[in-house]
Amino acid sequence: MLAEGKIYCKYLRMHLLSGMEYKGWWLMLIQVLTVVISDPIATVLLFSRFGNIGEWTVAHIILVYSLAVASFGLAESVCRGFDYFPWHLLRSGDFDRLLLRPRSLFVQVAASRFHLHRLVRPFTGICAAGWALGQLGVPLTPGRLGILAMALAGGCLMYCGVFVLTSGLAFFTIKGLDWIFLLTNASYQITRCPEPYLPRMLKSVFSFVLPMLFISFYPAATVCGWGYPRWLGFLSLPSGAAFLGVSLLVWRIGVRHYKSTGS
Amino acid sequence: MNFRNTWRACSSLFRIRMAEGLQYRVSAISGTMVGVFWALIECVLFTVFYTYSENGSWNNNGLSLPQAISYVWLAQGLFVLQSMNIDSEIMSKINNGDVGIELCRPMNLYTHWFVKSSAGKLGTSWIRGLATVLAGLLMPAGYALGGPASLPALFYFLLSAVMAFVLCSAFAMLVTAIRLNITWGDGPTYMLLLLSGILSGTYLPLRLWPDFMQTFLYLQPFGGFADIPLQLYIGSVAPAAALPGIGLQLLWSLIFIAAGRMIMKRRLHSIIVQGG
Amino acid sequence: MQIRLREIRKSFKVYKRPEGKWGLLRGAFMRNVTRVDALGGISFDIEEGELVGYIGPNGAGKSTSVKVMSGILTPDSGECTILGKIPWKHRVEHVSKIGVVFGQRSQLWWDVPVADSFDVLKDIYAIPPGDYRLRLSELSATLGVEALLRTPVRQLSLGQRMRCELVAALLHRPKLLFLDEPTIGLDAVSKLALRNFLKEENRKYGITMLLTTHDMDDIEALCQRVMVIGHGQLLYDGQLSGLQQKYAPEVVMKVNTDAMIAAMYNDLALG
Repeated sequence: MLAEGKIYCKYLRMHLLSGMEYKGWWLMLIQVLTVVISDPIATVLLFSRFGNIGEWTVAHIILVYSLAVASFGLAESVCRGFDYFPWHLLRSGDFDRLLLRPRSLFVQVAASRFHLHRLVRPFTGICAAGWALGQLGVPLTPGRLGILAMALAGGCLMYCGVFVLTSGLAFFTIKGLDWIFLLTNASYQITRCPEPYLPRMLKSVFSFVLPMLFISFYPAATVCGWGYPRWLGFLSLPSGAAFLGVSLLVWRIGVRHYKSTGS
Repeated sequence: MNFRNTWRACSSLFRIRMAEGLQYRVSAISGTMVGVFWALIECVLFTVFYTYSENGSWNNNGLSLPQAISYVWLAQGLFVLQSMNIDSEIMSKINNGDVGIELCRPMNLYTHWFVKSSAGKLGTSWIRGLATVLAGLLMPAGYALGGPASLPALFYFLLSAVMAFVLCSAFAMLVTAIRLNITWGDGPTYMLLLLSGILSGTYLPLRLWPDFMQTFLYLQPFGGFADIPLQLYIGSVAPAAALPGIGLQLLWSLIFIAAGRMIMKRRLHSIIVQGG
Repeated sequence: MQIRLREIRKSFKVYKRPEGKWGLLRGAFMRNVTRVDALGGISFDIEEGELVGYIGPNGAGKSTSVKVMSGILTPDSGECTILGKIPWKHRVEHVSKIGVVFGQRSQLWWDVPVADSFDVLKDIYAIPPGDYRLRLSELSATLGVEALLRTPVRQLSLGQRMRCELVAALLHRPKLLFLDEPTIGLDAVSKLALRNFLKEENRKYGITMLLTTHDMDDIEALCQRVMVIGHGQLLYDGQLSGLQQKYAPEVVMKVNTDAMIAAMYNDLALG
């Protein structure tokens, strides 16, 4: 385990070294920043036109939304390799090379890509969450900080799970894998809607299929005291880990399939 | 090449690409799923805002809830016309330097690429667009895509949608031409495409943007991607005001085409001067 | 016995689009599936320290069998033990004892100096630091790549890169080395250097080598034993001279063109 961690860091170091060779990195930074900032425009504009929904202000929504986006960004940073896997690593046949190395495939694939500028997303997300907490007048105590950190970690695990799941499915077919977009960039759009107003269908899908609400809304509710059971806020880590566990199962089945068809 | 031959070549290219589109029905299905999901989330959001928000009941934005929901569905349908990136075939030619060879061919590169990329775009996505709109029609009452405001509204919508396709393709070509002149990556062109997407109304109906921006939003080119046809359909723009809107689309298309051709021609000269 | 294959079979599914005028449209709704036998029951043994040439036309099943032996592919049926292990069942143990060189694909990081790539490989294969230093200096001296260690891979010529690939594949002292067209695209000097190195490595450490190639001069220079594969079957297994007698008895002598060209290049370099 320790050795695998060391390998992961070594890989990251290699990517950073290669990244320095690339001149246009600051443009990439601006590009990601533009995406990140333009993302919540629609929500902010809607609130400015329509006003608050009951007691739900734009700060409430931004808090939940930024938690989701930040954990997505974190997962995107640490598991970038899985994000690229279906379209690059698998297609180019370089996956064979990974199979020839006596190391965990998971670590090798996860570390096969790394882009420093991807950290812009979690960074902005965390800043936005801080702003929202300030607006809501919620002081940061160590306990609250712990819950938020756990939410981010759980969300990161969950989104890593999404990427791993995509890669696992990609072994069978990459035709029409676009629907996975539902679980990545489309999934955190539901946090734009206050939870009590979400239709029951969406609520259960995004609690029990993809534990979206557990890593964003409920931790926020526990931290700010929105009248939900406190323990719901602590489920972020277990639910994220559970999702990743299921995805890893699919990944293993995929690897076995790859080894028997070699395509 | 005379006009008739060009026309024939274009139409056959479109036919082939559309038939190819049928091949990728799995990805069409999954694309439709994403579109429908996205539209549903938007429908939920609009319903919540229109029903429960402070200013929801007396909003003065000239867009009722059923209109907003119809807008969302059709926006997902028309969204397929917009390019998220430069045509992959052309992009790979730019990257591996084959563009020099293309530029030496004795035909008009701009027209050739224009037809090729727009046919490619339509071919891979027309099923997705139609299926999303169909799904919208079949939704339960509160979330369904409503009928057009009137018969002339439908007519002008169709006309304007065709213009939107021309406009989107012209803009995609302008972006491609700009990309040809940039040696250091995709960043700027990507941001241009992103900006066009945001200002097209697919993010949020342009009517719901702040009031002081409305004149700007009407005159800027990207509203022609989706907003103008959609407003014609739902009736928030009267059929009487249709022709100015479509004229605006036409004007911007001509500007984009002229700019794209000019930039590409300049690039052509510089390549010939440098000797490939 | 280091490599032991018994009746290894492997077939693949191939999808075909219906032909004819409406093929494109019909293909959208149905597909014809056919099974193609890539390996139709292959058996052979390779002893420790052997240097075996593995030849056959494209698509004959060469790379499929190499993939089976290196643990990338699981066969449909048959037995295969390599160094006492079943490759596809004990992937990690298996691959830490073998080395694989693909002529067409690099295992080095493109943008960073060669030495950095080696450093990562040191950790991947958990090579003890002392042994790593010893082995690296020995290999780079024999292959003459000491001067290249600080150069990014993308700036290397193909010949230089190939020599670095060999270092990378041999750093962890594999007992078994698979070489897939290692000399493809190389000039005559590099080819000869590569062959000499492989021969020497084989003699000194008794590394078993299986060499896939289309270049018969490679085979002639390196291998006493050749295996010919075609249509998923082993067609010939034995001495190279036996193959010659069987298929081309009238060919008496052949000028070694590579040696000739190499001599010429060396002359140029001197002059």
